[in-house]
Amino acid sequence: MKNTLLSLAAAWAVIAASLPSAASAQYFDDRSAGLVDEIGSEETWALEFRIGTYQPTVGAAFDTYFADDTGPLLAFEIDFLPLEIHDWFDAGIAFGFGWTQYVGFATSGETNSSTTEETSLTLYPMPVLAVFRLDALARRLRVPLLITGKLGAEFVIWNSGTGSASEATNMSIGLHWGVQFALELDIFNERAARALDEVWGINHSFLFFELFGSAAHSNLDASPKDGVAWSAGLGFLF
Amino acid sequence: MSIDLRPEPWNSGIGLWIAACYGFRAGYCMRLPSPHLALVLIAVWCVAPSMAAAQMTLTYESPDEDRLPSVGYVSPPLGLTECELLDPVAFRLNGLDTTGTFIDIWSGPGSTDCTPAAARNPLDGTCTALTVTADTMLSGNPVQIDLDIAMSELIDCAGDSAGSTIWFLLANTLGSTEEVTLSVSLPVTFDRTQPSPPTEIGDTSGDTMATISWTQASDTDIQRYDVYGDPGSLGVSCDEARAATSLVPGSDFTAAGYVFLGQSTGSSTVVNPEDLGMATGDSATFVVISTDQALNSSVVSEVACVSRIDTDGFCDAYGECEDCSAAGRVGLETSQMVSFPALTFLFAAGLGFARRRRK
Repeated sequence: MKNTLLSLAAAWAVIAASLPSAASAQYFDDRSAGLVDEIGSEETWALEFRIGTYQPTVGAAFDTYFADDTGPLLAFEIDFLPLEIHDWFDAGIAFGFGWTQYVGFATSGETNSSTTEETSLTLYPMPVLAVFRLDALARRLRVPLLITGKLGAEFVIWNSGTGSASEATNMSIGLHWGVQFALELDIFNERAARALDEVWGINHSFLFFELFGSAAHSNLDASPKDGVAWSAGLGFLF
Repeated sequence: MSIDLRPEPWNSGIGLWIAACYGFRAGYCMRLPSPHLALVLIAVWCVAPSMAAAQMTLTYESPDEDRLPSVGYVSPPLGLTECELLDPVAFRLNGLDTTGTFIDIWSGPGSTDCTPAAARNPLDGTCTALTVTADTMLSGNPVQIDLDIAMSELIDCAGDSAGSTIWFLLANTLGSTEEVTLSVSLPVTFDRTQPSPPTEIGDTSGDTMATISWTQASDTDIQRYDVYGDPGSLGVSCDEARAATSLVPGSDFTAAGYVFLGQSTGSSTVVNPEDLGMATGDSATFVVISTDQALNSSVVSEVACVSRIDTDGFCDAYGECEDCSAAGRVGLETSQMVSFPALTFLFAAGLGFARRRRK
């Protein structure tokens, strides 16, 4: 519990530090000079759909039943990015929801031989993050790259069962971090990108690759087995 | 199940050709002389179906929801079981016109065509006028009519082994022997052949999931495999259960007295020993029955036997499951449940004080 509280406190400190004070309000003026986006509608949100490989650390029990199972992890994330910092960063919060399941065969209690009965572990990672997105490369220098840092708390609800019985449900909490590299797709077809904005209000779409880590081990150790895991997917800024 | 007996649209090829020409800007086919001609062609394409010869169509929905969907113009074979179903079949006739005032239903042996007047001649014709409740007089020139008819009204389930063709005629009298302009037929064939049972029945024991597997029968019209358990052979070892069971391989199967545990179109299925009332250490016998598309069932397969055993899964190896599984509750501490919405609220509140930026 102590670790949990420390993690939450640290996450909040990071968020609080990123919020504007009255003295720094000038950084958040509308339409800062030189940052006029060529695609017109308001841009405050991001939506990301991702897939990746991921194994929680857990321990020997995981290795016994799910050794070669790497998920996959399927997830989405919604970013709310109302803030602009020094004309270089967008900042805000993000909430994600993911799903991954590991399935193996239970063993006979007497002979320890494998049966056809399935045992499973299902994880639902839900990060709540502070997000800092460097978009000046794309907006100022026309280099279609976005670099995003994420830091916050992660709540991992997990469930395990064997056969048709659900045996346990619980939650782990801890820090979560991520670094995302995204390639904006506008450069491939600017007319289509503009049409997407006019019809749907989607300012930019992008492909991304994200490295992430977690220290959500307050209950079951859901941190990536190798320390870092990855995911990739498609995102939209709107 | 709904079976559509409508013919292919006569103009689908032309329609696709026009669509392709227009879609590819005439790059891969004959270039259209002008946009006006293109519009004329499209208009003709749209109007053409109504100008084509009238065509009566028939769809029907079987009362047996277990039947596999049928594709094409020939209805699947009927089995004795389905033929004798008392529930009426819902028929729908489409494309009626004003050339007749009655729906007159006839039957011909095999694939006999009952539309020529000679075939319906009462002296030497091969078709028979059916007196069914669905014979009906049309009023108000309907384009479509629904008829509910039990199959036993249309065919002799017990005696007609060669099959027959049922004809729905639009005529001016019942039992008409005049030429008809609109008709649609329903070929009906019978399948009373018992399918083979599956072979090489395998079994794997478990706690709440046991697997029964088999080698599929060679018949081409197998619809599914049903797995039944014998609740009368519990509480003993598999050898004793096999000796005690009343399931006899090769004998005709009646489901009465046995517990249906699952079905599959493949070569295995998972059953839950709890469904048979098995406790840990109990053994029980199982058989697999083939069923074909006409609902004919096979004889009893070889007998499989499964024991309910203790199994170890992830939670058994991961000791910390015990805290939350013992009482069957979600093992979240109050502080954990509060922290999630609290943190989210703090984030939202922080942002609420920030000025919003428009890009």
